[in-house]
Amino acid sequence: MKTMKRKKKGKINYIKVYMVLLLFYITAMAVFYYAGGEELHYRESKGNIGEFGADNIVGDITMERIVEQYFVNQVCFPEEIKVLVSNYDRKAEISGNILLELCIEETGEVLVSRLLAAEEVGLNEYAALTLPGRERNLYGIPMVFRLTSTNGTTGTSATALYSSVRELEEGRFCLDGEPVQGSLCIILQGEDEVWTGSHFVELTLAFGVLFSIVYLFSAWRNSRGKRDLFFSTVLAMRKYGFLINQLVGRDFKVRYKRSVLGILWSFLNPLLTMIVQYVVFSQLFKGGIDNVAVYLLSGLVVFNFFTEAVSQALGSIVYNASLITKVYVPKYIYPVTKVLFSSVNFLISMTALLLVVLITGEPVTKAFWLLSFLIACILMFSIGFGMLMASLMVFFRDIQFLWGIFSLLWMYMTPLFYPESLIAEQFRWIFTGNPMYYYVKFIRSIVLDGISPEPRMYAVCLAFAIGSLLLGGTVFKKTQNKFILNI
Amino acid sequence: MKKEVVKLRDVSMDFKLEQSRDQTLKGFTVRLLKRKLKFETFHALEGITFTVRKGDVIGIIGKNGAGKSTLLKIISGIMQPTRGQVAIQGNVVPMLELGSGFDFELTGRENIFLNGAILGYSKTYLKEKFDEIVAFSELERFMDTPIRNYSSGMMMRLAFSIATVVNPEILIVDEILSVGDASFQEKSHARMLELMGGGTTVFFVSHSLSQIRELCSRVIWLKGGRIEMEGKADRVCDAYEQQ
Repeated sequence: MKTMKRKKKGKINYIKVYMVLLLFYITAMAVFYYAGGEELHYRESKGNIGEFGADNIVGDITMERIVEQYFVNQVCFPEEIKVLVSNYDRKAEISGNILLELCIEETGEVLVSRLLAAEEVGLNEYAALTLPGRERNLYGIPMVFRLTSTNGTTGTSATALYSSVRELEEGRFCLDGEPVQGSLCIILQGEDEVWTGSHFVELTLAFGVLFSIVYLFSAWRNSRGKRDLFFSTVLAMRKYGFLINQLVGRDFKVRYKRSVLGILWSFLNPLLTMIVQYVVFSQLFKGGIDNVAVYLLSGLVVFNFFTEAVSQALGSIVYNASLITKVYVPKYIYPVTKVLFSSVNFLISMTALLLVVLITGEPVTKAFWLLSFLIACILMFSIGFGMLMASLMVFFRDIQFLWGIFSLLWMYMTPLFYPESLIAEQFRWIFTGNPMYYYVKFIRSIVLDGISPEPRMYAVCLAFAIGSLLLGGTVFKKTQNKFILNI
Repeated sequence: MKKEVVKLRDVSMDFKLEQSRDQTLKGFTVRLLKRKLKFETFHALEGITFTVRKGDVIGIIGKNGAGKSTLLKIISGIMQPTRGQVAIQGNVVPMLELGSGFDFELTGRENIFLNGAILGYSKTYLKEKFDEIVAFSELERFMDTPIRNYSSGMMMRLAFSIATVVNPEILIVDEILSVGDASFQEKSHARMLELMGGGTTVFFVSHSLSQIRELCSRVIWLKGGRIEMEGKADRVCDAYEQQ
C-alpha cells in the first residue's frame, strides 16, 4: 500500500532536496559558530584547584623562611591563583610583607609575582595573582608556588594557611625545604581549550560528508523502491502535514474557544503560573542565585513543557479510540500532534520568559540563537518519551496515575526551585542521569549567563533526544498493531 | 482487464482473548508471576483470499459475528492481519460510522477541513471541493455554527457529503444509506449510484439483501470467518436466503 502511494506521489528531485538540506546545514553551522562564540573554544578547566578548608598555619613568614607548594598544573590557561593568608587579627602589629611567586619548577622562570604589603593581608583572606591566561598553554607543567618575605621578622610577620589533609595531585608541600603532610590553601582557576573551536571547520566538513553519504545511500535505496527511513519521513511529512496542522489547530481552537480572553490565555496562563511559582519559591530559596526570577522561570518553562507534552501524548491513543477504530491514519500522528500542540504553548511561554529576562535587565546576547537547538532537542525528547508513554498507556491504564507521581518526583530531582549546590556531592547522580537537568542547565547558561554552554552539553542534549526518540519510536512501532485490540 | 486495486491473500485475523479483562499493571504482573496469562485464540477471519478490480462494487453479507467488520477494518488499514498479505492501491475512505472525526466544538467549516484531512485529502483539493461539499449537504447557513448545535440528521448529511463529494478511490460503506430526511436519502442514494458507476471501488455491507442485489456486482458471503461463497450478486443472495 505504502509503496504504491510513493510511486504515484513520490517523485523526488534528489538534487534539489540535497541542495536545500546542504544550505540549511551550512546556515545552521554558521549560526552555531557565531552564537557559540568563545565557549566553542574554551571552557572552564577540569584541572581547576578548588577551595578547601584550612586546619593549620605555616607560622610567621619571616625573611629566613620559605614556604613552597609544588604541583603539576592541569589547567591549559590559568587565569588566577589565590592563596589564603592571615594577619592573626593583629593588623596593627604586622609589618612584614609576603612575596608571592608562581614559578616553573624546571627553569625557575617566574610566571607571576606579587609583593603583598602588610596592610593588604587580612584575617584569613585570599590574596590573588592574575596570570596571563590564554597567551600561553601551561598544561602539564610542574610548578612551584613560593611564599617568602623581604622584611618579615618573628612576631611582625603574616602567615599562610594550609590543610594537613588535602594532597594536590603530584604535589609536594615544603616548609623551609622540609616536606610536610598536606597542602597550601591555594585556588587555581583557568580555562581549557576545547577541540571543537579550533577544529570547527573540520568538524563541519566531517559531519557534512557523513550526512552526504547517508543521504546518498538513502536516495539509492529509495530510488530502487526500498523503504527508507529518511525519505519515508519526508513523504509522510508532505502527506500528513496538513492533517497534523488541522489536528493541532483543532486542539488550539477547542482549548480557548469558549473563554473570554481566548488565545490570550495561552500567553497569560504560563506567565501567571510562573509568577505564582516565583512568588512562592523565591521566598524559600534565596541563597546562591543571582537572578531568582529568571533562574526559576527558565527551568519551569522547559520542565512544564515536557510534563505537559508527555501528559497530553500519554492519552492520545486511548482517547482517540473512536477515530483509530474507524479511520486509518498512521498512529504516531496522535502523540506527535499532542506534543506539537504543547510546543505551541511552549513557544508562547518562551516569549513570556523573554519578557521577564528583559524586565530584570539580563542582557540578550547572540547566544540566544542557540535556544533553537535546545527547543529542537526537547521536542525530540518529548516526542520519544510521549510515544513510549502513549503505547504503555494502551496496555496499562495505571500509567496515567503513575506518570502524575513520577513527573512530580522528576520535577524535584531537577534543580528548578533550588540551587544545584544544595545537593550534596554524593547525591549528584540524580543530576548526571537526568536528561531534564541538562536541558535546564542549557537554557540557564543562555538566558542567565548570556553564553553558550560548553560543547559537551550539545552532545549530551542531542544524545538524550535521539535516544528517547529511538526508544519511544521502537516501542511504539512494535506495539502499534495491538493498540486496536486494547482500546 | 481493469486494474487490481484490492488484493487479499490468505488473510487471517486472530484475536487473543485474555481471560481476565483486568487491564491494570498490578493484575498483569500478578498473572505474569503466577504464570496464569491465559489466552484464548478466536479466529475472526481465516484464509480470506480475493481480488477486487477498479470500479467493482462488492457486497459483503453474513450473520453477526461472521467477520464482516473485521474484514472492512483490514481493508481500510485500521487493523493489520495476523497472517497473510493485503495490497491496497488508492485512497480508502471508510464510512464506517459517519462523522467519527468530527469535533463538536468546531464549526461546520472547520470540521470539513478537519474531517477531510483525516480522510486523507489534501488542502488544495478540499478548498477546491469546499463549495460542492457545502452545497450537497444543504447546510450553507450553518457553516459557521459549532456542530454541537447541529441536529443528528444535519451532522450525518455533512459527514456523508465530505466522504462522498470528493471522489474516493475506494469507499467502504457500512449500512448508511439511510441518512437524513427522505429527500436527502434519495439524493444520497443517487450519489452512491453515481460513485459506483464512476469508477469508485465500493465495499458495501448490508443486511438488506434487496439493496445488495440492486447495487452490487459481486457478493462475498462470510460465515464463521471464512468465505462461504463468492460470485454474482443474485446467485450468492439466493443461496444465502435458502439456508
